[in-house]
Amino acid sequence: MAKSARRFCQRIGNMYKASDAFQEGLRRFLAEGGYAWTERPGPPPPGVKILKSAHPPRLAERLCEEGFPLVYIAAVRRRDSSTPLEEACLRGEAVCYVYGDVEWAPELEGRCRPVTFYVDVREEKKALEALLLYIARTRSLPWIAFNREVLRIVGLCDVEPNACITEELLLKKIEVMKKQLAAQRPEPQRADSAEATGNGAGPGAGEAHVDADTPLQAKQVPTQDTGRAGPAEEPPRLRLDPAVLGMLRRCCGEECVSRLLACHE
Amino acid sequence: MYFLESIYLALCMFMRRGASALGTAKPAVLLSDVATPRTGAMACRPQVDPAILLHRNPRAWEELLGWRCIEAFLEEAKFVGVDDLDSLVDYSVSSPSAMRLVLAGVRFSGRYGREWEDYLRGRLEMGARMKFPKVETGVRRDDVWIQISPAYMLLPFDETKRRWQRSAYTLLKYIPDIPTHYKPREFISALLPPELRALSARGYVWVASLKSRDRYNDALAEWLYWLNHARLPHIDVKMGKFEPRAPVDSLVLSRRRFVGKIGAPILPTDRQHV
Repeated sequence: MAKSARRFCQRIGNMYKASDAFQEGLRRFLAEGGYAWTERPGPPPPGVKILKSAHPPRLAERLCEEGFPLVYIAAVRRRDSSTPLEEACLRGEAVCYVYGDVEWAPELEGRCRPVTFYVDVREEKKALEALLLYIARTRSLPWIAFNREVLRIVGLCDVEPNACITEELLLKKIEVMKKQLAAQRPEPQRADSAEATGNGAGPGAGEAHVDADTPLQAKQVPTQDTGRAGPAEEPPRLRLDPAVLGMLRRCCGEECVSRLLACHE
Repeated sequence: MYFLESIYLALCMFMRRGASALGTAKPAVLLSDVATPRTGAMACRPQVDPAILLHRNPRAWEELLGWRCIEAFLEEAKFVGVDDLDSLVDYSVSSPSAMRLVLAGVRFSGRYGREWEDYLRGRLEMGARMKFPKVETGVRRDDVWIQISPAYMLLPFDETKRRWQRSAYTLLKYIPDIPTHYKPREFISALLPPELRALSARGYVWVASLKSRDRYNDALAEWLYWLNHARLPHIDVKMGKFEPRAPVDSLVLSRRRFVGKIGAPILPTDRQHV
């Protein structure tokens, strides 16, 4: 933890040391992007956090002692454009997306110098998207560090699904798809390749992958692939010809077989 | 004497009213971290709970939410590039947990108003919305523990992970990170083991009647229904569009006007005279 704190202070310190480079860069970006914005000394307003988790407040203490400001950005989406941005956020009359390297906490009051940029993102997600891209680029943050709901709102999930879905989930899905494809290979006549992708649309679509030979008796039977390997493994319970079952599976679909087995029990 | 008393009463009334006005004053900052805009928002009077956001049937939205709500929703959803009901329904079903931010400006009233307002503040009922009639199954599935409704995906997984771990660990076993914000149905369909999906072939009522540690499996039945149809059973029952999967599901259809304790077991023998 101490190592990460040191690294953080060093990185942020370097960013700030060039006469508050981040603030200046932000001002330039906002002016060039045509944003309406105001800069106010003070902590950020309550709102939706743009990052999943910011650094804990104690990591900022040393920076604060050295006199560097803590910069926050509040992207304000308000309905009533007559209300000032800051007030709209504080009075709860707008949705405010808040970014900050360090999570603001009351104990930093008086010790740190917070500055909040209130940026009007109006009714366009483009404005918020550009701001998010700017933050990601200048702070060297991976998408995985961002709040996934905010990424979805901005539309980045469609552009970069890896940013929204964890790698673990994606790998798991690929693994399942591979297994399904491998299971289908010996049966080229099956035409439900589209369903193998898992887009279970419509009744029974999800059950297209059901191992027909898995007994539907609810007493827990191991979930591993008992199906393709051998219906002959459980002859006393099923007493149905595996060849007929295979043909039924091909012609009538998995659900048909499932129902037959349920009825047969 | 009476005159003094009446002055005293009037003073008390004034003070009480003043105090209550102070007490009910809305805080500037709401309980959750989502600030909800209130000025200029249209009030909407839904006839259904927030679970409809996971219900892929625009007709149900029209009937149960009404166009006043839908227009208010569309007004808010302009921000994310949604401009008609169909695309709104698609967006909502494909990213349920983001809807809380999208709808942050809508004001709700009516019977379900409180539930919607609570949802926007990040509070939502976790359990199954549909209480299926029960039948004798004679089996237990203690290995399956899914006591959370799919409607709970309306809240971000990151915020509710602990609850999922506690009350739906069977799901987390196969899907470690429920993608509540992006195409959850597609991912869950792909990753849930076929053995669990196949249970629905015996009927949703049968699934709901399975016992896991003395709890019925209404939530599991809801999940299976939602994965099969992208709709929620309690809303389909409201709309008269419940789709049975097995003969035993006809109990749901015949039980629309069921009088009695909700969720009370109805054994097949009870239904013979119907």
